[in-house]
Amino acid sequence: MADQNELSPGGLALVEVLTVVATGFGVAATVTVTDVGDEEFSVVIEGEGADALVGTDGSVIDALQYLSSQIMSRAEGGGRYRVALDAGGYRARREAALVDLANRAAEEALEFGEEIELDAMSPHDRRIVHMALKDRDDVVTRSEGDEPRRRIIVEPAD
Amino acid sequence: MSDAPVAGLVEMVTALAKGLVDHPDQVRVDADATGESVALELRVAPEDMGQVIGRGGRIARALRLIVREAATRSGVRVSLEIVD
Repeated sequence: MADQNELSPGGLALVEVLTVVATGFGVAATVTVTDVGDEEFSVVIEGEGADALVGTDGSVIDALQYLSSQIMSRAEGGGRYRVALDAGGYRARREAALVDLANRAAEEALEFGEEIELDAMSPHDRRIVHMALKDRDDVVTRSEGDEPRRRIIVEPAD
Repeated sequence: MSDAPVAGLVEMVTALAKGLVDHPDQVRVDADATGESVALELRVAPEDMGQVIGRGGRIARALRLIVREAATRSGVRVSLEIVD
């Protein structure tokens, strides 16, 4: 893991920009950038009130994450860099809620011996649900429908 | 309205735009505040326009969403225009 003062140009640029953005939201934030390798960076914004940077259903943090990957790619001199951005622990909470939803759907599918259809979700969220149940041999998951109405079906394994 | 939220919004758009373009020295953000509304105008080098608008306007949309949300938290309405 890179030390903050050994960051690449892209990492330095992101710390600077995201600190200014957080200030605009009234948050005195600490921005931590970690090079996780494979052209991917993990960025965490922490501080009192960092939840302000999440927005309705993660709209603000998703927009910031998108701009961060653009800023990172430019500062690193081209190429496509991925940035996974979290603020105030939002992504972790969201992931835990999705895993919980997946497990409840699995129990329901087994209890009633039926397919359980979940609400439509983003590809990112669907992946979390698929991953949460992939190691179970008593249920299977698949996706149905077209974006943005694509949704997961959980059913008992044959 | 106090100047603080407006200054914060201008700094935010300036920092994001400078990170996105190839000529950060040519990024300029002007603010025109009337009552509770602020009109922001972003100017960049002509060859950098694509980098603040994005394919299908995706970058401009993200910029507007972020600045609008920040403004709302300060009780201010904001518009962001990218001027060519």
